[in-house]
Amino acid sequence: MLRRLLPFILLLLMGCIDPVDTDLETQKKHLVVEGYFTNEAKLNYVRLSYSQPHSSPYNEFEAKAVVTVWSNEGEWYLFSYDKEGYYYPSAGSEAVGVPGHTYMLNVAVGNQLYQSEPVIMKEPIAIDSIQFEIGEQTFAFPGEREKQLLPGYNVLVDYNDPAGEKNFLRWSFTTQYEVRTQPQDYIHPFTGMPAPKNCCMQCFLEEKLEQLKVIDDRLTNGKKVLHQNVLFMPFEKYLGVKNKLTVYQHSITEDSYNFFRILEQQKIATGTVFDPPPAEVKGNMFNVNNENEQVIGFFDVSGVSSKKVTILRNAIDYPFAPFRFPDDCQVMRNATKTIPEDW
Amino acid sequence: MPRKSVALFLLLLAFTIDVWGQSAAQKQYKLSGTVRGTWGERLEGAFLVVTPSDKGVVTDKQGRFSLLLEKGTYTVSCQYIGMAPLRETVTIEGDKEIELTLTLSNFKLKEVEITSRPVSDINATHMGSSFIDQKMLTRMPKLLGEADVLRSVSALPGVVNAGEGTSGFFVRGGSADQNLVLMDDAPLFNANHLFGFYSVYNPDILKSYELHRSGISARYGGRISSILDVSLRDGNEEKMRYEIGVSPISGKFSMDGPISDKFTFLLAFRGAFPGYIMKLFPNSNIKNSSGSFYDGNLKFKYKLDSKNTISFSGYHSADGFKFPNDTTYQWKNTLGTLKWSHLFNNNFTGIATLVKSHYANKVEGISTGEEFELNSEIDLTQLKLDFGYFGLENHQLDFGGDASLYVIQPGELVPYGSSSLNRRRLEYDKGYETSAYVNDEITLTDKLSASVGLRFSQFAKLGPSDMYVYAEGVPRSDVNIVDTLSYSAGSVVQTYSGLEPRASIKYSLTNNSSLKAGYSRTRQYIQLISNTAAITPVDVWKLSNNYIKPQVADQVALGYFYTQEEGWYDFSWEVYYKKLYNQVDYKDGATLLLNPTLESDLLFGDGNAYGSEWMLKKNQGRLTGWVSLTYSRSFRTIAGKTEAETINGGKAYPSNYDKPINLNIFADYHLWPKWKVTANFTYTTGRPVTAADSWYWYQGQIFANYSGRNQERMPDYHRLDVSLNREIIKRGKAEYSGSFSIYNLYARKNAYSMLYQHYYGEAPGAYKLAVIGAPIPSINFNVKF
Repeated sequence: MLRRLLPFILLLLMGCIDPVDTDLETQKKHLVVEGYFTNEAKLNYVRLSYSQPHSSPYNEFEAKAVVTVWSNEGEWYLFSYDKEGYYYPSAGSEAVGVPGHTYMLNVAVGNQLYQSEPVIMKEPIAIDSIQFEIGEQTFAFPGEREKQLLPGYNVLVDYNDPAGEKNFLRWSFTTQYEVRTQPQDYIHPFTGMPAPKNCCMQCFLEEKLEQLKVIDDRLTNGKKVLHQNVLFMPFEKYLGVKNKLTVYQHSITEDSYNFFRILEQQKIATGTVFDPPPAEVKGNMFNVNNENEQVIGFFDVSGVSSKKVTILRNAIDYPFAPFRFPDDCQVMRNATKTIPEDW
Repeated sequence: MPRKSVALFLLLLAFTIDVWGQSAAQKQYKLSGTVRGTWGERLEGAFLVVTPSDKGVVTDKQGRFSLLLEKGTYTVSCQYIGMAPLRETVTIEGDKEIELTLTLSNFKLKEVEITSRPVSDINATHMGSSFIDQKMLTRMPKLLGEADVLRSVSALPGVVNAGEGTSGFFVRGGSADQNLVLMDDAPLFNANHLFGFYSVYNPDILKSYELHRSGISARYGGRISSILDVSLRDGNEEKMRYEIGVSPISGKFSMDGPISDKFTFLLAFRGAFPGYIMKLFPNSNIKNSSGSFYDGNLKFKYKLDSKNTISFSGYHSADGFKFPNDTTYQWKNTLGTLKWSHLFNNNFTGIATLVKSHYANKVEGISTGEEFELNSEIDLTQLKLDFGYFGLENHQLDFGGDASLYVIQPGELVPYGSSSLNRRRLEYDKGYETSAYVNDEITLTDKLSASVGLRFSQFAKLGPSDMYVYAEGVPRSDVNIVDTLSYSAGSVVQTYSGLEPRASIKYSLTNNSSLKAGYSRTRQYIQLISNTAAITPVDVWKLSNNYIKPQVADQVALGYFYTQEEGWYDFSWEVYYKKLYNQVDYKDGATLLLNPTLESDLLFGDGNAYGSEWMLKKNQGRLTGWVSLTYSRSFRTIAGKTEAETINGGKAYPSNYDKPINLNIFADYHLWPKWKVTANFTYTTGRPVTAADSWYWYQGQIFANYSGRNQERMPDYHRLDVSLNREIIKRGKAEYSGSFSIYNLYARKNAYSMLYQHYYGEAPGAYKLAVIGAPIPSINFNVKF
């Protein structure tokens, strides 16, 4: 908690960051497993990729693996390859976990078999309410090099922490939103001349947002937890017109908590005197044939509760400039002109 | 003149050595006494020679000396560096006690002042210690207008600093908490001000400091790597003096003098207020942050009679810094030392010291829903008795003991407002440490002398305490607790004790060269639990308990010391080997704050360190200074019972303090009659870091894959500081002095840490973070009247 509050110290000291050379001879490739299994079918997926040497800017995915999740209670689900390393439950298999059951992930790549330790699915903890608070945060949209300070909504949740047991939580989100763009202001990239487009200015997008943030109830056991800050959404893009946000509250295991906590610690570390030195993030995947092989990643099993809210631009009492995108809105990733049902 | 005086010293020394070889034939009487400086302070290491017998002595720590003489009239000549020589005629008809007061020689002995007792080094039995006095310190280049004790320590051989923005230093491969940092005998738990750019020592009232890193006398204990013994001066006995100093972000005021002929005092106050400079920054994070500190010293000295002196040294400081909209940090140091020095007879002195050191720390968070105050504190009460006996010819006997009580509040979380945090308080961590020691400095022959000591220390961890019993064969963790042993208040939970033998021996090869060897064992019962490289305000001190065993170090050292015939050059060479036991390291991602099962996040193992230190000093001439070069290594081996409690497969790995090459050059050049230029250059190998072997995506973000621990190194550290110092100008009663310094002259961006980052459009890569990336000029101005 405290570490998070300290990133500014080095600014005070006129600190600066410069690149240094990496010793490329020591660079290695490892399998990276990102596995999620919950009691909500659409949240379940496995992503397989390989870690890359520094200096290589390319992604490498594993597309030919056989991925299965099975339980001590006899459940068995096959995941099949989609694209970009993602594996989703195969059509027809209703891959929904049951809290209390213990699950394992199997990944067969070539003649190597990778397996997770068994993980129990914890009982979900209900979200009582979702609130919003105006705040400012540094944020970078995909494709932007520098973070900038933007106004937006902090998404806060309230819930009751069950007493008598240790609980660990993380959050994920899906957001469905409408954007208005300016195709009439399009500038041709080669000529540099205005080249107005006729279509389209209204689009709908759907995004999944994952958060590394995890919390434990070491300091809040058995209390009603209020205003737990779980997400920041800048007004500019997400809240320009209308947004339907679903918050998923994952009840995770202690091992999973530790995994994400160290991962987050690394993400927010800025190398200051207050930061712990970086450390290996130990996951729960291993190679059955070779225990010494380092496999990166975690098979996270969680019991999930969710809550959906709709936010309208008109309801936000804060002046902010409209989203600026001088092009056909369909150019935006995953954008569609089709109005979603119940919009 | 300077050359002559040094030659005279050597001559005196030669006499001294010769005299010890002779035996008394006739009835002899004792001449004893105390040598004091201008301000009444006792002078250690003053040379006395008595003619016509040509006997010589050197004063001890208490400024005391004694020697045997036949009946007759003698001339006693006394010399001390920086003081005008003194001659007095003494008639001996029986045992006699005299008091000699030396006065400052002002400018007459200027070149000699700088040498800071180089001559005694080759003849002293102890080794591995460095002495710096205030004059020396104020010549060193300053950062933010202030000469600083802790920063100057890292210019000494065998010492490396923990990085800019911290005041921690590492001695011979040990961690920062293995250094006992004292202010007038009181231990400090955080000697930082303002992110380590200042330390708790006010340079205007500093007398001197000594850093012991090997051959540590049995008188000292409690930490295993080094002792930094800092003394502040007492009020002067002549007249009231005032001193005012200013720099762009700080101000100082001190006054001292006699209240009566028996009673002197000193009062000093200092404050820094960088806030208005921070307001000038365009960045709102800096603009809305703030930091400041103030501290004050108060010293009294009361001479009851010729045999009894009572003195008091008190210190209080308060620090605070705040980041915009979230958290404030505040800490306070309160120290007090009450000392009673008693002269039993001419051969026997005693000092009783009562020490109190209190360190309190408060972190306050003000975010909605998370309002809290986190308080922690540490309180030390110590009683020490030290005796010196000089009655045996060729022996100087020191003995004594101490008892300390530690009461640590490791953390209390107090939520308020709409906070959903639970109130939480960790148990007090209580324990007491007692020790007794005896040390004898023996002059065996005119060439051979030895210092032999033994210290016994004992520690008891006290209740109330809950000790958790963990399941065997699995990593310690709060889920593996099988039993809890509860101890009531005051009951003894665990005791540790052990002997700490110390020995050093000196053999003079010639009049100006000697060989020395030393062995020491040191024990430590309190450690700083910190997963950062430096001491920060959120760290916790922890006493030894059932799981955290006392840290022990064994060190052997060998040295060669040489002083050139006329004292122009000194050369020393020391090698050492150290074995460290029960060293603490951390599990990956350990939780250190408010953790009742802290031991389950700690790892234990052993360490070893070795090195060679060379130092060449030039003491005279227009250019003076030193070059010190160190080659050293420091390793840790953490091989626990389970894999999770093992680091790097149980193999030795470079510790965080392993910086093999360390070069320090300090030069002081007399540019014009009233101006001096000093320069300080530092080079050290980069410290070991855990490096990443690849990068990967996880949850749509890029991470570095770290493996193992401390397998790579950061870029090397080097820096040049320069300073232009104006000699003191006298205008009527006032004395003015000033200096202009530039820290980091060639704008080296030294890496404090290494991190891996990804910017869109580029491959993820390694970056270094520099705390200071620009030259920092500063100016300061002092007036004394």
